[in-house]
Amino acid sequence: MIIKLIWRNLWRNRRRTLITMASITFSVLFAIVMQSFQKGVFDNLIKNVVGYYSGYIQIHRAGYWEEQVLDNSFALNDTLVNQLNKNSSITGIVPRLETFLLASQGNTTKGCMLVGTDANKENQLTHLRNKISKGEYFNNQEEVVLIAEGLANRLNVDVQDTLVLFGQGFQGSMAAGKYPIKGLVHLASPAMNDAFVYLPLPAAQYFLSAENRLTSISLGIGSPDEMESVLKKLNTTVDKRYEVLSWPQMMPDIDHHIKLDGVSFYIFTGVLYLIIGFGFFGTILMMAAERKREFGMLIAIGMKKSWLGFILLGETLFITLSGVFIGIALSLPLVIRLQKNPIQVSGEFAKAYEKFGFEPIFPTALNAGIFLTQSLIVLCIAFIIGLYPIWYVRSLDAVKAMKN
Amino acid sequence: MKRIIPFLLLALGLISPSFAQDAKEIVKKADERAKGETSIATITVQTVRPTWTREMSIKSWTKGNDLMLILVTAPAKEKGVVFLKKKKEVWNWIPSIERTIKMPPSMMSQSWMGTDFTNDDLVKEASVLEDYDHSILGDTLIEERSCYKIQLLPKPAAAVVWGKVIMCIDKKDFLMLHVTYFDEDGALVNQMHCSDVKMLGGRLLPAKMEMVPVDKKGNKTILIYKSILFDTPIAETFFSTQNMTKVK
Amino acid sequence: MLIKIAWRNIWRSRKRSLIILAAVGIGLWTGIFLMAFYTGMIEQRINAAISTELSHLQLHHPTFRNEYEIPYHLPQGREMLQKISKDARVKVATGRVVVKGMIASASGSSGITINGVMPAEEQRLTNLPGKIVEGNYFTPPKTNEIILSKKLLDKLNLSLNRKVILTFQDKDGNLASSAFRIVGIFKTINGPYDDSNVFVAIQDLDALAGIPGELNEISVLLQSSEMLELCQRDFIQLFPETKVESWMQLSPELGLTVSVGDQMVYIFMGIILLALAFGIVNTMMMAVLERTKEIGMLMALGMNKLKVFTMILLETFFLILAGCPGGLLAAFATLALTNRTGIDLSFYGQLYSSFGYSPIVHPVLKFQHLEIIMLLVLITALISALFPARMALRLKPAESLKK
Repeated sequence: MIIKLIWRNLWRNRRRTLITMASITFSVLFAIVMQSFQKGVFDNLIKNVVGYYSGYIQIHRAGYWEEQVLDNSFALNDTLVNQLNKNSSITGIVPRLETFLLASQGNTTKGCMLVGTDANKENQLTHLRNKISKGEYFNNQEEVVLIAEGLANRLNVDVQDTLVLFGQGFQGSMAAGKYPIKGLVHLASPAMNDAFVYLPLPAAQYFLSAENRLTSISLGIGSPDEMESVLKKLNTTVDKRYEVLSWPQMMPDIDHHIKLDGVSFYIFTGVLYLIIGFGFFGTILMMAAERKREFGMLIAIGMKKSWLGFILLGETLFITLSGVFIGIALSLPLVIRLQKNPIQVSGEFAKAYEKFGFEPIFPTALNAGIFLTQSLIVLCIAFIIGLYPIWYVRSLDAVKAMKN
Repeated sequence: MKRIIPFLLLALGLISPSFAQDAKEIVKKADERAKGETSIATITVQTVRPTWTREMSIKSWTKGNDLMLILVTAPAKEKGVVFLKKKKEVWNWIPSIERTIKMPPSMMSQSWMGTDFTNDDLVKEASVLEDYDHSILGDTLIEERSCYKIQLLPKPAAAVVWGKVIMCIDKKDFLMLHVTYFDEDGALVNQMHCSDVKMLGGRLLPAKMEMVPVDKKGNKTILIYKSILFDTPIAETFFSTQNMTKVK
Repeated sequence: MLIKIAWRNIWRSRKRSLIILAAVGIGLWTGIFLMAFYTGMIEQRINAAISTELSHLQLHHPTFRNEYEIPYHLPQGREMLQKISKDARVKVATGRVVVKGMIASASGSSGITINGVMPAEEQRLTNLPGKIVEGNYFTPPKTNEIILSKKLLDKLNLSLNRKVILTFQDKDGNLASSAFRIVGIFKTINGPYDDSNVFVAIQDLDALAGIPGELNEISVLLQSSEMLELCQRDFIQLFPETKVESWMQLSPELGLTVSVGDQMVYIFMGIILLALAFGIVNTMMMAVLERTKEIGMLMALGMNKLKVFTMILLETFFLILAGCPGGLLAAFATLALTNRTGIDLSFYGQLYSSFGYSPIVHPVLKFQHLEIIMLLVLITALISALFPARMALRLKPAESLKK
């Protein structure tokens, strides 16, 4: 019976119901969109950072990160590879052999960072092929190098010139070799752009007398959210003679910076909830005022105030729930659209972004968790505020109400 | 007769002080003995680490303190590599890539050929006389040889990292048998021990030198002198970047 | 007349009006405060970098900053410095000899940038003595004193009064090295900077480098940032063979921080204002519904549709505008308060200092930001007023009167 009453009340004054529902719907919409933006930009930032070079997680021989010398390399081992392959969250496994050497051309000699890597896997993780600014990408069978633009400038070399690499190899042996430059790459980080030289892994291992050895394995993961679970799994399953490090552990400065930005987002979100609360309260307040006469009448003809309270509760429940569902239904396509066609950063800012290798976009993240939590939060806020009419009814003087 | 003995004693008393030499002189003598005006030597270099050991054979030419040329003769991968030191500069010739490379300052503190010596050590060798103040601390016994214990304190303006160096130099033959390097806080950082004294190139010299970095367990570098030829004339032009590519 | 009616209507329903006033007030207050906060944070970072490392302008030989090679020093640097110092717009200017080299101790070595500074001028420019946490500043005529960071100190396993050896390539490409004694330990809020910079007196470095009496860097702090562009242009004209760069050109990462921050803030402000608008629209629409009878009455009495429309429009408009002073006042009050004391974010301390932010933020309101916010509020007010007004038109007064 009560339910019938509730239903009829709602549809009697359609406009009123719709306005109230709209208030909630839009609140949910805003909350979800804002959070999706925030997460989208955040995740994008992380993707850019790990795509620079490090990947999400790296595996080294234990102690390598503290002392990054060739002698702390490890031999590639089938058990480790199998463990990594089995984990479905891991989307990329890049084996590398890295060391500091001298690069020379004519009379100029500069220190450089040699990266021996698998051409295809490297491209999957860091999109190295897209970073080629001149010349062509290499493949694993070749004995050629890709050199970073900054270093190429400093050595005054260009594509098809021969680069001399010289330094200490594995276990004190000498490493000396000449390699033709197949391409120039533009690396976003200025430090990397001034020092990196890429060589296909087999050639690098031979060059450094470090056959089958690696200094690091870099892992790509589907999305930043999966990193924690992968990290945990690896830490428990991987042999103790390896160390497993996540990018925040390897680059604490950048991690702090990103967390910093996160702080301001929380504040903004809080303000949004505040505003939403006020808006909804205003609506409810007016609704109660509009129905003052109706309430007075009902009480006068004998309806108990507590019953009326229940009815109003039911109305609030129905309105808030439907408002939330519609809100979700509306925000879904919006968030998807903004994810596929993200807002572009414009003008000068775009250039600054690109210079640092960041995509100049503000994307949204499509995340069920966000939809759920935001809906719940708005639901709670709306519900609590929606209890106002019940309180209003309680203090209502029926006669006065009808007089108006 | 009774007057002769005290007289002899007195005479001895007068003579002994003149036998006690200046600390700097001692170091200088030891240095000259080991180097000569010029030297040509064949040496085996062993680099010892906890998990591996490498052996390298080299031939070295020196002239005075400023010029040195080292040719690697084994193993095969490094054969033919040449190091040239001219005053404070270091050059490398690498036959496999046919290149002469000048060592930039950033590489000077890197290890030389994977050993416990740095490129800097090759260059700075000479400063043992000019950059330090020398004094005799006392005597000590090393491998049954009586030695002077000499303290070298760096001069204030000297560009050496050590706070103190202690050298033990054999009294009879002026052989440098033991050297310890300390930082300014007095902590021991490096230790060099020489042994296996024999005739090399007509001089009595220790044929084995072991350099041990104290804080790296299990690490050491051993130099074994196979032969030395002293004071044969070597032209200054021998020590040139052009000659690097031709030397055998 | 309409205005009078509209005004009175507002105050007749006090609860409703108060709610809207509060919403607008809070929206405005938080919006302004947040923007000021963010701006303050960024300005802090910039000012820190300018006063600690970069200064407003720097002059170098055009090729110098490629490899920091000594032959590329400023032609007649000392005379240039004199000329620049005489300019009234310049607060402080100093010259340096900057060299890239190695620092070594018995336990290790590290690649660093050696800054040969003029002690007195450097103090006025970057307050180097103020950054010293242990030990002392340079005390001429003592020679070969060096000031380095705690991080470097630990890396080289050293302490105060110990010596280090600096090695670098001099003007002719030969290796120059010399011993220096640690007299002071410094610390800035920029970790990476500390790692790789050491300071010595310029006279201990220039002769060693083979360029006695010369400078390869001039750093200028102006009386105020506003003069930056003009000064830069003037100096470029005055010294045609030199490269004159501003802090933005010297440190593009800093410029990036500023621009990214701005854009994000606008987007979020947009969303918040949108939410605010909706809240107000909803409330007003509900209010109009509530006043169906009243409106019906007015129409029956002869008020035509246009007048009703305008009346509701005015009401909403006024309400929003009335909410502004409250919000603005609250914003200005909190800003004034926090501007003086600063907001201490030390509980996030570690996070901040490792990346160059100081933990105390002074919110700063830029006039430009205030203008934009006020404009947005105005537009919001106008648009939100339209919806309820339109709805009022759709009401069926005859029916409502029947009630």
